[in-house]
This record gives sequence, C-alpha cells and structure tokens, in this order.
Amino acid sequence: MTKHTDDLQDLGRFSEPALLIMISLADGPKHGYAMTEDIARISGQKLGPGTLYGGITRLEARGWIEPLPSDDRRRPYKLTVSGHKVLKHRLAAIKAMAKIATTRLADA
Amino acid sequence: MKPQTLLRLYPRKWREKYGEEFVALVEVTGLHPGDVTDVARAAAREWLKVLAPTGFRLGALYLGCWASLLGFAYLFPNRTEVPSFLVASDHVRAVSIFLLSAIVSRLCDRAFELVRGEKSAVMPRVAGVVSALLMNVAAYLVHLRMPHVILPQPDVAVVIMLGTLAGRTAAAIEALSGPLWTPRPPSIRGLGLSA
Repeated sequence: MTKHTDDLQDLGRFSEPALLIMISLADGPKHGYAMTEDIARISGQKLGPGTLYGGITRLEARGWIEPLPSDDRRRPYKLTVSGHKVLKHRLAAIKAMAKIATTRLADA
Repeated sequence: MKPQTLLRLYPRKWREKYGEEFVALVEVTGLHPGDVTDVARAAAREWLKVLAPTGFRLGALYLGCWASLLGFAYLFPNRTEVPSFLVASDHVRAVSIFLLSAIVSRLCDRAFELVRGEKSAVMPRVAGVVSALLMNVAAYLVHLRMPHVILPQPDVAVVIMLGTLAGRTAAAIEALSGPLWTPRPPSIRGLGLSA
C-alpha cells in the first residue's frame, strides 16, 4: 500500500508537466505562451500545446491554478493559495530527496 | 495544419473553455514535429473524461433495471413478465457484469481510501471479482425459482477474469482521465499543512 502523502503525485505520469507549470507560475501570472517559454528556459523542455493545456486543465480542476480575467485571447493563470502550498510541499520533498542523493553520492 | 483543425480534436466543452487561448498559443509558437501527436493524445484523454463516466452511468442504469427485474422476479415468480429489452444476449450480460464490477471496484477503492487514508493496490481487483461473483449468485438464485428469467452463465473462471479485468480497466481509465466518481477536492488535507 502506498501512503497518501503528496497530492501532486496523484497526477501520476502527468505530475511533471503540472509541476513545471506551477513552478512557472510561482513568480506571477502567465499565459500559455509565456509559460511555454519560461518552462523551456528553466527546464530545457519544450512542452507541446497538448501537454501544456492538459496540465492547465488538471491543475485548474484541482483548484491549484485559476484564470485571470483578460480582454486578450491569451488568458493568464495564477497559482491559488492551495496551489502555492502544494507546490511548496512538493519542492520541499524534492529538496529532501536531492539532499539524500547528494550525500549518498559523496559517500560512495 | 491550422490550429483550428487541431482544436476540433477536443470535446466541445473543452473547446469552449480553452479553445481561443489554445489557438492563440499555437498561432504564436507554430506547430513543431510531434505537436500533432501531442495534441491528439491530450484530446483523447479529454474525450475519455467525457465518455468514460457516461459509459459507466449508462451501464449502471442498465444494471439497475436488470437488478430490479431480478429482485422482482425472485419475490413474485408467478407475476413477472420479462420485458424484451431486458432479455439480454450473452454478450450484453458479460458487458453488464464487467461494468458492474468496474463500478463496485471503484466505489470500494474510494471507500477504502476515505476510511483508511491510504490507497490500496489490491482492493480494486478483489472488489471487482467479488461483485462479479455476487451478481452471478443473485442471478442464479432467481433462476432457481424462475428458470425462464435471464441470468448470466455462472462460469467462475470467466467471472474472475471479468472481475479482475474490470478493476484494472477502471483503474487505468481513472489514471488517464482523472477520478470517475468524485472530483478530487481542491483542498490540501492530508498534506499536514495548515490552510
């Protein structure tokens, strides 16, 4: 049995694009194109339009991001309060894992 | 390929909500190799979200009618006439057992998760098999009193196979398209964080 510890991981193989989208929105609202460019810059991955909007759809359904009103066709999104906390929690878990991995590599 | 053509791959509701911004994005970025398959996969997942719950609801409706008939026939064996639309073929009965097993296995899985706060790897399969077996037992009991009433063939091997397959299929659909029964609440409960 798997302990239910991290809601973002519930997205399974879709959790990585979702995490990248949330990281991209961490410094402020962005629309789809700005997210794609930002994610490519920070991770080296170019998310396809299907993957990007699949992630946006899932995150919005969970209430972790929300759209902002816009007169433009390009609608910006921002992290919600719960999205912010989920992201912080996930990043803390990654940081702890990276610390263990680094220690083990140094000991090897 | 035009962005509008790609957009048509998505369900109508999705297009209404995200269509404009999706087209605006593709117009700016252009289409790269692999984008068409990327969009096709994403669109297929959105369709799955639309179609899977509908299929399960239809299956549940049919099974509800069927179960009511079985119950009524068992209680009043001399007064029951089987409506023709419920006299199912073997294939329909097999699909019915499959759907019921999938439904029950998902419900048991959710119930287990709610009560224990944990996911179970075994529960969906066990629940699928048990529900398929119970359905056959119920139908067989009715058949004892009313031999002409429809019933699935009580083949244990087939039932176990269907039940297991149903549990796995429901889990796979859920993994692809999100929860079938209750949308996950947007809460942060279980993370050990204060709101």
